This record gives sequence, C-alpha cells and structure tokens, in this order.
Amino acid sequence: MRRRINWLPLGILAAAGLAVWGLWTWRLTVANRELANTLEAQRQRHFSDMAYHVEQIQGLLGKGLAAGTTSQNMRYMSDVYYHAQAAVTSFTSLPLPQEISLTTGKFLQQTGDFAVSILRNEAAGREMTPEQREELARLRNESANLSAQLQAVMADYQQGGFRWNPPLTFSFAGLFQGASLTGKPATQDQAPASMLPEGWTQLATSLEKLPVMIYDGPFSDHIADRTPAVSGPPISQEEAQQRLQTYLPGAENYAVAEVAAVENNLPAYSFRLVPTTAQKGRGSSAAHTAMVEIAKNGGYLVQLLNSRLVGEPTLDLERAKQIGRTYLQGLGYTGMQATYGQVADGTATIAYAYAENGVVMYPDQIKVKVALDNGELLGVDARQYLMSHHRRTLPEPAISPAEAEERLRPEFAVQRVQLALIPDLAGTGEILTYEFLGHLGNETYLVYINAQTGAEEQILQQVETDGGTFAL
Amino acid sequence: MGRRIAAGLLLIFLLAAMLPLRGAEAQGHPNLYWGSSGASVRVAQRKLAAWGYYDGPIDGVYGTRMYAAVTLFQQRNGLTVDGVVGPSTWAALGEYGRGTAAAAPTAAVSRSDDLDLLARVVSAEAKGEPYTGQVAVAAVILNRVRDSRFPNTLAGVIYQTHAFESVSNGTIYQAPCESCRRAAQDALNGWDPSGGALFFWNPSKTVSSWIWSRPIITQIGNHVFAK
Repeated sequence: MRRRINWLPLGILAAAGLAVWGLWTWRLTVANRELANTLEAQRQRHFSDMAYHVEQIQGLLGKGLAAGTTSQNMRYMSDVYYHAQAAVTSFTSLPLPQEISLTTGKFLQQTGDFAVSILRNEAAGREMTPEQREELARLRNESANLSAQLQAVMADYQQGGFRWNPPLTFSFAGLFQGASLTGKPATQDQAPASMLPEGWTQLATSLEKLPVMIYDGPFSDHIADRTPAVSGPPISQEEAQQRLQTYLPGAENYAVAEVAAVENNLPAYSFRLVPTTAQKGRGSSAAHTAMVEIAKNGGYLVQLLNSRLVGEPTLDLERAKQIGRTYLQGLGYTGMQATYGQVADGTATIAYAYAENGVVMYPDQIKVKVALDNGELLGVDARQYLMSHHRRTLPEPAISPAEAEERLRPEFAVQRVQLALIPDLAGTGEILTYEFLGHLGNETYLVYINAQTGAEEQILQQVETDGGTFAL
Repeated sequence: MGRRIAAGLLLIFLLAAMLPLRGAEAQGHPNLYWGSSGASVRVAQRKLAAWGYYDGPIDGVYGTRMYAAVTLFQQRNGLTVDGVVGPSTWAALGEYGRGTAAAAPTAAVSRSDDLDLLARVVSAEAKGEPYTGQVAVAAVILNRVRDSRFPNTLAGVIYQTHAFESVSNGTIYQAPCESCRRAAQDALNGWDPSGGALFFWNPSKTVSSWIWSRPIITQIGNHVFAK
C-alpha cells in the first residue's frame, strides 16, 4: 500500500522556514546597509577634509612667502605642518590604489616636514635662505595644483553622486562572482582605481614628476640612499660561508639550509641555518633557525638572529654586557662601550657604541642580544656601525664642561658628564656634545649641549624598567 | 547612581584644575622687563650672549645692558621693539616649554603599547613563515611608519585601507602565535632581515602587476620583499 504524503505539515514547515530565512536576510540587509553607509560617510568626510586641508596648505605657504617677519613666518609654518599632518591622516583613510597613495602621501608628508625644518631653523635664529624660499614657492605651486584638482574631482563626485563603495545591484551573473568579494582583496584594490575619474591618475603622475627635495628633515630624499662607511673588497658566497664559523657561536651545530641575496645599499648574503642535532638540555626541541647576514663588500657581519626559545633566566644584565663585549672583541671591535640595556622575555638587548679618547660615538652602534638562560649570543645588529664608522678628526670643544653645565636648568641635578658624538635631528650630520646625565624631579634625563656653540641639541628621557634602562 | 555622577564631576573638576597648571608649565618662562630677576633672566642672558647681543654678566638681573641687548635682538628679528621678553621674543630665542624640544616630527613607535598590535599582524600575515620571515614582516611595517609615503603611526600603517589582507578579512583580531610576539619584539629592537623593505607579497598568489615593478631586495620563505 502506498503511503500518502501529508503535504500540509510539510508545506507549513517550508513556509515557516522560508519566512525565517527571509526575515533573517532582511535583517542582514538592513545591518549591512547601515554599516556600508557608516563607512561611506567616513570616507566622504575624509575626502572632504583632505581637500580642505590641502587648500589651507597652499594658502598658508603663500602667506609664509609674503610674511615680512620671521616670527610671522613661523606662525604660518607651524600651521602648514598641522594641516599637512591632518591631510595625511585623512588621505591615508581613503581606499586608493597604492600607486596613487604613495606619491600623494609623500608630497603631503614632505611639505609638512619642510615647514618644520624651516620652523626649527628660525627658532634657532637662522632665517630662510633664498633656496628655501624657492623651494617653498615651488611647493606652493604644486599644492595649489593639487588643491585645484581635488576641488574638480570633488565637484565631479558631488554631481555624480559618487560613492566609494557602490551598493550591490542584483544580477544573475553577479550571484556567481560572489567569491571575489571575500577572497581577493586584489580585485577590491583595483575597483576604486577604475572607478576614479581621470583627475586622480593625472594628479598622481604630476606628483610623480616632482624633483627630489633637499632639506634637513628626517624624510628628506637624499639621506635614503647612503652608502656604508665600512666596506672592503667583494667576497664570494663560499668565502662568506667560511666566516660563519667566526660569527655564529656554535656554528658546528648548524647546517646551511638556504642562502639568499640582499640587494640594498648594504648588499649582503643572507644565510639561514638549522641545527643539525636536536638541542639537548633545557628549552624545547622545537626547530629554531639562525639567520646570519654577511656583507658582500668586505665580509663584515651585518646581522645575526637566532630564534631559540630561551628558558628561565639565570644571568643578569651585567653578565650579559660582559658576554656581548667579549664577543665583539673576538670579532675585532675593540673600544666598544655599553650604552644601554634592556631585558625582555629572558633575553637582554644591549647597545654598544664606539668610544675613543673619552668620546662616545653614538652613530657607531652595535646591538647585541644575549640569552639569559645560558649566556648564548642570540643576535647582533651592526648596520649602524657599518653605515657610519670612520676615522674622525673631532674638533676641540670650544667650551668647558663647566660652561656647558651653566646652560642647563638650575634645577637639573647633574650626575655625570661625558663628551658624546650624536647624530643631528635630520640624520645627515654629527654633532660633538657634552652629555649630561641627571635628574629633574624623579625623572632621569640625558641632556646634550653642543660643545662648540653651547646650544641645547637634544633631550632624552631615560626610563628605568624592571628589565634595565632604555632611552625615550 | 548619584555617587557615580559625583565622582564624574570630581574628575572633571580635577581635570579643570590641572589644565591651567599644564598651560603654565608649557609656557615655561614669565615675561621679562627692566627690573626683572631670576633664573629666566639668566636663560635669556645666556642666549643673547651666545649670539653676541649681550656682553654683560650672566647675573640674572635685567638691567641697562640687558635692555640694550633685548631691543637690538627684537629689532633685528622683526619683533615689536619694546624691551619686554614676552612669548614671541621667547619663541624667537628658541625657548618654548620644556619637553616640546625633544619631540621630533619623525614618527617613533612606543615599545610596550604597540608590541601586541604588531604581533597580531605578523601572526595573521606570516604565521607559517620561518622566524626570520616573521621578523622581516614586522620590520616592513616599522619601515613604513618611518617612511614619508605612509602614515606615521603604527596603527595608521596597519589599518590603512587595503594595506593588509588580514585587516580586510579580520584574521588580525585573533591571538598572535608565540613566535610572532618574539619576532615583533626583535623588530622593535631594530633587527630587519628584510633589508629595509617597504613591501612584501607572496608571489604564488595573484597580486597587482604594479607591485612587481618595485625593486626586489630579497626573498624569505614564501614572501618577496621589495623597496
């Protein structure tokens, strides 16, 4: 006998299921639309804000050029810096493809930075040079261009009802492209580029053609491609591999797994090594690796980093400092003085600087990382030393330590003074200073007084943590 | 409820009470005029002496020679010539509040607060990579913070729209892997196996053709690193 299917309960069940699904889909759609609109509102706001700030920048640069007095100019320059920062913040929140965002971001950042470098000079009593005025005029023209183009793009957008994320429209073909929404940000990346009107691309290409900016700011183009100060004849990969024995402690326990070239202004061979035997003793046998980077020119150790997991610390920072110094002496780096140390996660990171005739040369720095469980050397970073170490003929200080001390605040309690060579704020030059370590209230500071002019060059705050000191 | 409001009000009062204090601290120096004396006068005397405006003793007393020096300085620097060392003259002397002097416009990354965020991106972007590759990814992010073409805070770089896939798909909000934390710490301490790279990508995954135009520095594990 054939069983009769009772359609009624099934139908009710299906209808109920459909209703639940429909309601849920509707809820999702509403929530989705709300989120999309919130995001859209933010992006529209950021875009308008950016256009506003760029407009301000070009106006202020013009005023800065017209300003008759230094103090007046300083006011405009600080405003330029503020608006440039704000413009960068807004700008980087927009979903633009990188080829556009890189050039525009750089332009805005450098404009702000240029303003600050002028401001700093003026605060130190140095007026704008004719070259700087010229540069300023050029920046003004470029930002006026940028501003005009932004206004045009914005007018376009507003008339056309442009949206950064256009709402999805239903189509049967679209149903099957669903995966691309989640899986591939690459396509998402491309979408805005094609959506953007001509204006953006033109804008990006015009900014791409800007000449290299030279000024004494940290983002200046001309310090990006320095060449190392310590160099030598090129060596082959085999020769470099032989030096692993010297550089890597316990090298006999490691085998080279991979060699890669590093092609930058400090070209190197990068060796990746794995332990040949499972490490006995404490710690896990989890496969750790070691990386050793050896300079192609001269075969110097550039970097070393061992990822071994360290156990319970048994050594203190003082012992670690000795281990680091002994290691550096073994490589021929004598006269290195520990300048600060920090303990974290069972390891100590210590910075050493080259010292000669009682002058600490901070640019010639090598950092060392020591495991506090067994004293093994886990890391070396000698890039700063290789980039800057050379034989220097330092000038005789023009003022005495006592004269330099007079320039400090009377409340500053000096604990120690020594001569120190520090990089200038721009990172392009070096300054001979007196380094005063002392207290102001409960805080410890390092104050650097120029040994030639007596100007205050730098203030660092020293933070004492459980794990040693480090400078802010 | 009432108590909470009271506590809130108290907090507001405390904050309000602190504000003028902070303002005074930031200003640093009082106005100086004929007859003023004290440490601030000494500061101004030293500055003016260093630049050759003042030739009297650094005695902390504003007298005839000091007046001559201040007016000459104001005249040469386009300030109002009134002999009073007010805010604009202090600024021209390079004296703002203490503390602002050390603040450079370069972005720096504070260590403790940012370690977790950095560790999470490294974990989401390079969990299966060799340790060196993880340090390199963290270093790329820190290099971006320092570069002029990218935002200059760590969060700015990481959350930049479309910059990292892990931010788009939400994996960044998962707890970081153990080695990723150490890798982030090593990168914050300055190690950089990427050789100063600003970009990294996985060549086996589809990426835009534009990215291949960047000069490649090195390859670690599954990632290519480029300037």
